Amino acid sequence: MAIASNPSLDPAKAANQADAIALGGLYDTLVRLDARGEAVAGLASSWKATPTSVVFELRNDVTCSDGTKLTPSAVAASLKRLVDPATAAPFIGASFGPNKLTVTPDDAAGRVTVTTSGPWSQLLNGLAMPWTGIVCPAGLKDPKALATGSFGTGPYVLQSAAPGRRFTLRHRSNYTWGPKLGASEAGTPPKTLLLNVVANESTAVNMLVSDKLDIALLGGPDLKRLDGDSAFTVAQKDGGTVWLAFNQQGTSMKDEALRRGVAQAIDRAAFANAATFGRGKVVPSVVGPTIQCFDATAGDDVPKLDAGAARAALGKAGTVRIIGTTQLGGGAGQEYVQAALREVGVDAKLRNTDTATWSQTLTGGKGDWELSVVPALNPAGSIIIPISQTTGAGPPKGTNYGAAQNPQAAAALGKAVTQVGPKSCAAWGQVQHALNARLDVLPLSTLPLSIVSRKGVSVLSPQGGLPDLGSIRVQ
Amino acid sequence: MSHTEPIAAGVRPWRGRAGGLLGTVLRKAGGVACVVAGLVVVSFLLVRMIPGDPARSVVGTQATADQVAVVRDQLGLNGSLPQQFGDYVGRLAQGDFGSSFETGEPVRTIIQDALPYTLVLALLATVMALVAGIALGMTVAVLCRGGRPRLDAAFQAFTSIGASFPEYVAGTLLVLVFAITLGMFPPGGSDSLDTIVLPMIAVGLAPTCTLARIVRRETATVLELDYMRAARSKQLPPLRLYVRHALPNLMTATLSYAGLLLAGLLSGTIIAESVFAWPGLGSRVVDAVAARDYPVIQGAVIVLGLVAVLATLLVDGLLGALDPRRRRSGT
Repeated sequence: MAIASNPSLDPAKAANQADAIALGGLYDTLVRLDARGEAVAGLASSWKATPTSVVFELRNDVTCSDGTKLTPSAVAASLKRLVDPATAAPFIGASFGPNKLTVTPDDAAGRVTVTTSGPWSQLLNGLAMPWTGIVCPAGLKDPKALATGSFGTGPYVLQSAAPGRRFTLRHRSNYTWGPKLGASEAGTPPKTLLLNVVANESTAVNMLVSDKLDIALLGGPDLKRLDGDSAFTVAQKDGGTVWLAFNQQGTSMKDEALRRGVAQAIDRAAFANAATFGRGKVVPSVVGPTIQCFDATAGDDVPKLDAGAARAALGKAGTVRIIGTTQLGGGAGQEYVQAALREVGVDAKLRNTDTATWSQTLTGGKGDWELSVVPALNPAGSIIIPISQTTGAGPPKGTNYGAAQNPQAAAALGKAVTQVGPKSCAAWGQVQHALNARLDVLPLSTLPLSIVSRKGVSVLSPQGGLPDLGSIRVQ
Repeated sequence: MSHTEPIAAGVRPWRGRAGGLLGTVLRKAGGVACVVAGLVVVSFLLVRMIPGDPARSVVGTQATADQVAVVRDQLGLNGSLPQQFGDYVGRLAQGDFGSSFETGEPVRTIIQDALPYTLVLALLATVMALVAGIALGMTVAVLCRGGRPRLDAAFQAFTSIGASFPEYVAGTLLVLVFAITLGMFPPGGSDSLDTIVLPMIAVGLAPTCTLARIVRRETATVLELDYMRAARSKQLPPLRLYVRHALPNLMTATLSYAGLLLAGLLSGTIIAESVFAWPGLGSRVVDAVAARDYPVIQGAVIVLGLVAVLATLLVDGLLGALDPRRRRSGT
């Protein structure tokens, strides 16, 4: 199987797709989300959730890769390390929001209680994310070893690591507690799983067609080379969403009329075509269509394409600075945005940069950009990830890139986090409507991913659109 | 050109043979030390001029400012520039290149794992360029001596095109033909010996063509020299004539180019490493630049620079051993 970069082997440091894929095979979480976004049993066999806590009943047959039995105390120690500020785990906000976490183990009862300092209905889903993978005591004793080894309860154990080349995973023959993510096809898990680091998608496709790879995750134009090839199965997934962020912190985009004008100038279908090689679909919300509580009607609040209205609204917009990362389609999406704005008479300037420069600019809070195309990967299918990037504190302190302060969205969010399960969807829908209504964001397209697998090899993809290593079967 | 004047008998030059050798060694060692010092300073400053915060790159856009601050502290980026440089040089003096910001691996381990792949690829491409370039250049020069303008034109056209072929184009075409269509070689990876064939050709093609053109020109000149006329008049067998008499006189220009070539290829394999998923140091450096992974960039620049300098010195030594004029001059 191909992965695009060297994965982080420490769950707390998970930040990209390669991390989420590899860690999913090495570390189990308390629960997982299936393809519909429903929580299914993981290390916990059952649970009871309230807006401020979840009580997990743990399975009693789980062992770490070194053979030690997994106890509630071990689970608690792992979660405490995750939320320790010194760990600086980048995604804990997506799991626990702004809350402090209390974890109480009960070894005699086989139970762990996780409590948040404030209402946080996404706590259960948050504990399904890859960065919450439970690290066994041996790993916690020597955190530095987490960078080079595996200390989890997952279906695989790291046998050897050759960064830049290959990570070799060995299947644990006694692994029986895996989550039921869907109907697995016939076959057996591979005894050895080779994760080959192949950064170039053209090379990955070359290796697929030459029998040197069985599974690859593709997002670029090389996928077309496999069209009509009966040797492979291609599963289209949503890896996240792409939206346009308006910087309301010290720029002209504080003016809603200008934001509306920009939205009216952009043909979102044309954007999706340009940015995603024709594979993405226009989205009505920053929340992806496969995520629980996605609201398709939020798109009703997005203004229709209207060049005349856009020209009138943007007449006094002045210079509009666009920044984007070439990571998405080589930057073609933001080139389209620039062209569309120039079409209606705007002096649009574009900076297409690499991801490191883009992310520093986006989060710098310096008011040096008006618009940014944000390709928001959501490797775990969390509703919190897109919402936390569009609500709350702006940069540099927070992650609401546009720094929009939307009272309706904030009020709906306050309601959403106090309700558990499907009951909360109405409030989550209001958040999505409120963001679109004020044009604090312009949802553009899905972020398509394609999982290519050779015939005879099957793999499931739960939330986040990434292949789940534990579900790989070979006939 | 080297000095060829004889040294007057009984007159000790300002550098005697032993003193000259010692002086040469000391001068070369001093030069290497200066280059390494320059690499340390320049690589340290250059990486910090690249826009983008390494701490933000490690944690991504989802992290808060507080988390970024913690990571910046953990990475040792909060000190002043002189302080960071002092810490860096202090660690370097103990042979510690630091650890990767991204993966936490020691940079020394990264270099130990990846450098052999880059060296093997660069060396094989250089050997290919030497063997094929000399053979092709000499053959064409001999065959075209006094005639065959069409062959010469074909050679000039072929080598011009080959020398201007970028690695990624050559690599892509090689994969298309020999891996995908004919299935003769793997398209990428590093699992078996045959995986290096296509990367080697992709990297070595342009230097082979350039070298062939140099050799063809040099051979044509050498073939017209008096001693070659004398050798031909003795009816020596062709193999002996060209290999024993002509070839040694081509080696100075050829080896000089090969030294530069090897030094250039150490960093020039980057594209081929990406196209063929070859796990060399070049691809790790590209990843490190994208991630603003300062320790990996700095370590790789210093080591690759040092290897390039040593390769150049080795070629100088070889030239000295092969060329009596250089031996006499002590250069």
